[in-house]
Amino acid sequence: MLGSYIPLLVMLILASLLGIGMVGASFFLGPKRATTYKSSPYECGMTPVGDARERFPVQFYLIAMLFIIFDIETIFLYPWAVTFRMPGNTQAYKFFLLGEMGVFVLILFVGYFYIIGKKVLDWSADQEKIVESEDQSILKPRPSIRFGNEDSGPVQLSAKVTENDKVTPFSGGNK
Amino acid sequence: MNGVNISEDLYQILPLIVLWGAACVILMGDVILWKRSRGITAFLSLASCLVAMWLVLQRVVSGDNTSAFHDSILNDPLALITTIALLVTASLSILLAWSYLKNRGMNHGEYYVLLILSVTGAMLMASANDLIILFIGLEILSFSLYILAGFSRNEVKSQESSLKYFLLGAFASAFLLYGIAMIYGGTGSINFDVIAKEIQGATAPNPMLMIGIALLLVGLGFKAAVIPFHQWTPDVYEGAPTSVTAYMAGAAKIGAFAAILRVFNTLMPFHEFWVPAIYIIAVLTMVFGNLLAITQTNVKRMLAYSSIAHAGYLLVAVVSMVTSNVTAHDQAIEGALFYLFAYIFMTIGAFGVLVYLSSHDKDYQTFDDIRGLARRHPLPAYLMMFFMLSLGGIPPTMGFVGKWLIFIAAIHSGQVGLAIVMALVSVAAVYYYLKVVWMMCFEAPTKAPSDIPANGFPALLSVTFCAIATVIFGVLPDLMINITGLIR
Amino acid sequence: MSLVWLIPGLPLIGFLFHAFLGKSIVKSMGDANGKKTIGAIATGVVFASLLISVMVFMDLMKLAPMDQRQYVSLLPGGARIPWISIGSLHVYYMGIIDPLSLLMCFIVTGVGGVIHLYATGYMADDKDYPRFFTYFNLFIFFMLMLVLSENILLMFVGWEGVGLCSYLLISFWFEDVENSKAGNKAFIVNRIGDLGFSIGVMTIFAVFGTLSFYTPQGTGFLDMAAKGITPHGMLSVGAATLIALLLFMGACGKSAQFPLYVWLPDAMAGPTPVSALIHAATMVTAGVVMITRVSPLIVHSPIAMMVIACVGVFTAFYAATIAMTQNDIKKVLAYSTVSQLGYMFLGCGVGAFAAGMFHVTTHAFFKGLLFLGAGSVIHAMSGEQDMRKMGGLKDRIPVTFWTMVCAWLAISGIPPFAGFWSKDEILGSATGFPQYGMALYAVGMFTALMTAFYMTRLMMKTFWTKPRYKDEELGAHSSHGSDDSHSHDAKHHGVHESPPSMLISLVILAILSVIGGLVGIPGHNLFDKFLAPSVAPYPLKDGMPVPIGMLLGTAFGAVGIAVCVVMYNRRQETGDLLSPKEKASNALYKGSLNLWYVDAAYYKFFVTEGGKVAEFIWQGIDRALIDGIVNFVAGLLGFLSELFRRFQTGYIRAYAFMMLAGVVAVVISVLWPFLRHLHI
Repeated sequence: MLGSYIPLLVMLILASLLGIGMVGASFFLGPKRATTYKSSPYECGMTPVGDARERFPVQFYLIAMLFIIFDIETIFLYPWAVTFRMPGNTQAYKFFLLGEMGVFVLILFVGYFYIIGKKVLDWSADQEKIVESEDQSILKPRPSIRFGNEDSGPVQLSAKVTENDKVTPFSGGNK
Repeated sequence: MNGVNISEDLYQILPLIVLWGAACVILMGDVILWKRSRGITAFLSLASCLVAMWLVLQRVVSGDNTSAFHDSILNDPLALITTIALLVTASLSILLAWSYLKNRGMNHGEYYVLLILSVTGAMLMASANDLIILFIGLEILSFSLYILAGFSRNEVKSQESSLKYFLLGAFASAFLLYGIAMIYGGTGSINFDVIAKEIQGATAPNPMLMIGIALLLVGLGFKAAVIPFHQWTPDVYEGAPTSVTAYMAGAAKIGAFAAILRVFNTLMPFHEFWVPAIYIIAVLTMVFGNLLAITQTNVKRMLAYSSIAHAGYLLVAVVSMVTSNVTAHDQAIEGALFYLFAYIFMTIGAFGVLVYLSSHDKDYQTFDDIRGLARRHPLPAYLMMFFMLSLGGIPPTMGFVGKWLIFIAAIHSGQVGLAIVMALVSVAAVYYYLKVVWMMCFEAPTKAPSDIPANGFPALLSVTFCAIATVIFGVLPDLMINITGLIR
Repeated sequence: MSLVWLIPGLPLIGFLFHAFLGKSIVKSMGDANGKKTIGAIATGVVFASLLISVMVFMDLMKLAPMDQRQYVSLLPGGARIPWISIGSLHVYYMGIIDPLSLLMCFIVTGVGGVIHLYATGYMADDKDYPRFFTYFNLFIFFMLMLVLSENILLMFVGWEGVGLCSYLLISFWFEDVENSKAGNKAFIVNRIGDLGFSIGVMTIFAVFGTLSFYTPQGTGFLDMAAKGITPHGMLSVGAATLIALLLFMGACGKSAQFPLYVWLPDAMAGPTPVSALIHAATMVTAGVVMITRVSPLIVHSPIAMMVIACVGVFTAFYAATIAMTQNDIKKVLAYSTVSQLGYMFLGCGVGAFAAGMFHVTTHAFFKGLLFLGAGSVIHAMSGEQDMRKMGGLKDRIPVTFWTMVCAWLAISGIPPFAGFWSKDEILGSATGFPQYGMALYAVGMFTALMTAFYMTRLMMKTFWTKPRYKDEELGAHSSHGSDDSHSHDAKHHGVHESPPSMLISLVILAILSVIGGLVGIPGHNLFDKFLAPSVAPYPLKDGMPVPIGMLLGTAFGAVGIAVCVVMYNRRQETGDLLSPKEKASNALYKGSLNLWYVDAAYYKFFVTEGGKVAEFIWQGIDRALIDGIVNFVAGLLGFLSELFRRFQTGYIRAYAFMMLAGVVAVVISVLWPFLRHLHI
């Protein structure tokens, strides 16, 4: 019964061996000249250690998220197209499928217009204005709080942990 | 495949389509057409809810309820009644938010859109006859609520509550999804009818199915805020803007309990497996929900624990469903539905009073805030007193009748132990509800008498409506019970 | 008949009017005019009720005797709306119109109206004038509810309502704490009787399954009792006895019978019109009315009848002994009332219910008159109530004197005055009672002698003997106030006759006291014939021949009067029969003066000792034990709450961990039966 899983097992072993082999080969064969940058987990992008409450431009992330949504729309079109062209679909059913896709696209369009209306894609021009017109207080530095334990006060952390208050963002900066 | 009767299917989800369509239109309009006048947004949202409610009521009267989309949507009495409850919740919440948002500086049209979308999610949960639809409904509901909880962007508490809710919600959704997968693995279907048939014919219990049921219970229990999946509740209820809390407390609970009632009604043949779990959870929820509420000093937090406790009472009804006595079984479901209505009226009312009283800069929520309220603002204070009495289950209010119906159902189905626990904790509960009344009526105000609250007429209308409903259905519960019976 | 609802309705309207508008009327119309208006309205509604009662009476008399029981709604427009409708218990706002209820309507509205009129004069100087008439009208309303109601539960409402008004009016001058205490005493003692009444009502429902006296279909409990049946079979003597004794317990409280009589003498703390209306003419006779109403049930129980007769005659005798030595004019009359009520119960007890009601009627006339006269005397004496300080008022207040004479002769049993006929009928009936009839008669007769004696004593001390006061002192006296301390105009110095409104009332009642008994002359007893449809017939043996009875009765009364007159004539100066030395040594005198120490014993036993028990229950059981348990539980819950809220740390990771633990627990719980199956 388990016999059918043997190829899987073989595949698992082969994959492991390949991974170990590649890393091992570079470890043994490659030259080792460590610099600070090269020792950090990622050599590009942000520094991995630091205050988590760091300000950064949000537009980049928005664009990335929006891209995913519209990307998925495109991907969704492929199986739809296959289904649409299935042999035996009556004309009426095809219309229905077309309508379905129409609704789907329409909803996406609503989102698209919303984005435009909110000036999300407008990077440069009105940025200052937007911030000004919206809530000024967003820009103020905020106190860090952690609530939940009503009046009992924050939980006492051991000295070791409190030393490095960056470990617990939500309790950081107590007192 | 081609045999789908599309128009019939669409007719069955017409209220949902109306709300979805309205949400799209309102969103576009708010951004592009009437940019700064949120009154139109609020009005259109309310109108769409009322239209949807009218459609549902029409369906109730005409009684042509079938399943749609290959049995994945089922508009049975349970679904219709809970849908009405949800739409009532949404309408009342829109009224509450009307001027509150403006005064608290978060008057964004998205609020209403998200509210409408979340109510569609809960409606989908209520009429889901299919695990995947159930999951989609739950996620639509949850996502909107995550955003709504963090709607007050200036307040760290609101942000934090949103994040907490999201992270824990995602955690719970994962369990739910895993449970759905397990059930599919165990029965080969995601459709409740098929699952029911499958387990009726099953000779031996299937452990995979059992684990699936357990995880399903976890996922839904999280939404319903039952112990031990409740811990997000006080933090989120406190942190979220009060109007959101009012809505969330109502809608999430209705949706979750609609699903719980349906799922466990389907799983009735295997009751010996899941009843002990729900039994224990019910006892824990009732006891600890009430116990923890006692020492709260914040009305919103206190009401959060109270809503946990009410979830416990509702679970008593779920357990009482399990009986060979058909009358008792129906009685339990009727009791639960009545209780849901009672719960939304008194909870939204209680939060509504806080909304009504909130000032420009801060939410009205601590015991210090309400101290001596009866002398400063008699009307909201007396309304609040009324909701507290109802929450405490004191006649002649709806809370009393609801509790009584569940109590009777529990006794008829032989769950005397649960009934006793319920009665005992209800006594303890009266303490903290009356504490609020005491604070309002008998303590000297710490604040100087302030002006009439800014969150004027719509909020007051909503609260008054809740109060009137609480009395009328408390004095004449037959009215509500007959509405329930009309569908049958 | 369609106007019946107005009979209690008008006084209710009067009550509401005074309650809500009374004060503002006095304020807006000025003191004198406002009071006049209020007095006129209060008196007017009662007389209007009397008028309607007469009209209804005319209608009823046109019917044959067997039809003289009509069922009418007490709501406007004859609406038949249930007050209570639970299971098989249906109670309607219905009234019964029959001779008994109409007779009581006459007494309540007639005598009540006269006393209202009297009160407009008597209370004229009181600052709480509107409040007084508010209560007075309310009393009339409740009393009419009591007598008119179609079922015993509605009767109980009236019963409690008159008790409430009695309480309110006894402690009308509540600034004086003694008056409040008297009110409390009346209320509390009445509660003991009401306990019996309410249990009796429940027993009636248990036995008969209905609370209606009579119904048109013949399903009322008295309909059944008259036939000796219940819905479950025959009516047993035991059940009848139980119900009769429980109801009699209620009657004992309301009608001040031994041992629950103690409240009535204290109730004289109220204004004199209150004493006349409530504590002499109407309310205290409610017990007799109620027993007469349920007479078809009572006659089934020989034991109960014996108990009623014995309690009645003993109370009559016992109260008379106390009345012999009292010095307060109102106290004498109060004990006299207790004694006369005893006669009425004697009548009921020996089965002569109509005779009992006859005595209720005549007693309402002459005792109402005596109280009003006493009020007039007190008025004349500027608030003095002590007879030792009176005397020789005969010529100073002639109208009061002559009307009092009528009442005096009536109560003493001198023909042809009203009291003679009714007392004679009761005593005559007693001789025909099968068990110990003659013994009851003997005690009753001796009591009649004592009655004549103490009433003559009252008259002698007040009117005939030499004055024992000085005119100049009276005005000064009043400013300090006394027991009956209605405020007084400074211009009324010295003895003075009362205003016309009071005198008219006296005259009306005097006329009734003289001729009122003529409707019940033996042989042509119109009264018994009138009342026959309402009371149960009870076969009495042939007792003493009527002429002999009348002769003996007259003789006893005359002897009592004569002895007293002779004795007091010898003591014209002091007005006291016994010298202070004799008073100190005479045990009988001391016992009687001190009410045979019953009140003191009650006080010692119930108030002092009972208070200690209550104190122990309060401090020891309630506060220490029960509150202790409650507080302990509350404290425990608070502690646990504090403890468990520590789990609410605010950390998501902690919450998630808790959830995970929950998931594991739920999964195990769900799999548990499955695992068990595996192992087995």
